[in-house]
Amino acid sequence: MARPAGCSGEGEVAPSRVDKSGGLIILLSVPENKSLQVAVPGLPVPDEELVRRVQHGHMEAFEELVRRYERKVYNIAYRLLGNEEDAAEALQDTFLRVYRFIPKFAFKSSFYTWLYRIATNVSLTRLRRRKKTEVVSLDASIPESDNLKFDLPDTGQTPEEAFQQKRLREKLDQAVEQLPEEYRAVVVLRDLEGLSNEEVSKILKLSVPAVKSRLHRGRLALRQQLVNYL
Amino acid sequence: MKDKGKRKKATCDCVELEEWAVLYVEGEVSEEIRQRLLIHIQSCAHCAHLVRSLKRTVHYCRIECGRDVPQQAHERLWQTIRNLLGSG
Repeated sequence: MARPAGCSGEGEVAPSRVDKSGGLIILLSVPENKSLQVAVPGLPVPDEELVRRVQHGHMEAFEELVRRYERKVYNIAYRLLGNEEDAAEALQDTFLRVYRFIPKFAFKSSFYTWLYRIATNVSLTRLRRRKKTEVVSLDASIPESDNLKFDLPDTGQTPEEAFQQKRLREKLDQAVEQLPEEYRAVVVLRDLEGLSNEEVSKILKLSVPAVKSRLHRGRLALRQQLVNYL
Repeated sequence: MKDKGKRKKATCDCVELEEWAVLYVEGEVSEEIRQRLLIHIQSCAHCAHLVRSLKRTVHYCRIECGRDVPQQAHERLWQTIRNLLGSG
């Protein structure tokens, strides 16, 4: 029997199409005991649908995932590593790994939880490697403030406000960098990236109470560093 | 005196407050604990300052919008992606 266009068989999710406005149109045929994703024209294609498309060989969907998460991944890496050069390397490594392992992505977690776990692991591995080499080359480190000189967005602030903002940002960068590694990842993911305790626990493979405990210590340490600038 | 005794029992000390401060800022403490912390904060300038600055720290972290990917890093990434997809 001929299947309707867009359906690849019972229980399978056919690669979706994108309408003229960029919205997602999915035609699904699923058994009763499976969940059904409702397509809403005009809304962005969900990550998981893009992953399915990549798994079906539609590589333009991979480009869309990179576009979506390039900035997020860079910021996680930058926060964990503390400089642009290492963050750029971690950004590359992360997406190379995503490309390599996305065919095996089994939809047991959301795509971004999986992606952030890769980004965090790549960054922390690089951080540990760097710490070992820093022992013998202390003078190779670049003062954090040098990276921030050209970094202020045009926010319509007065020069004084912009200066204060820059100073606070500098302090925040320094304070995060000085956090012990086990607190740093939790603070970055929870407070700077806005993830929930549950999401952070999945990414870092910690229990939720362990996340809360590290967050507690991390925030108190951060506050200690920033207290004169807040 | 009876009221005073109750009030003393209903509050906490600075060490206890520090233990609860992060959860308090998150709004994740029970109503009973929240009340105890509040009573202490009202009479302890040190802890009031701790809670206020902790709230600001968390708030600042949350509004910190991050930075854009530097142009060079962006171009390098996309060159890699194009190479990958071209060869795949």
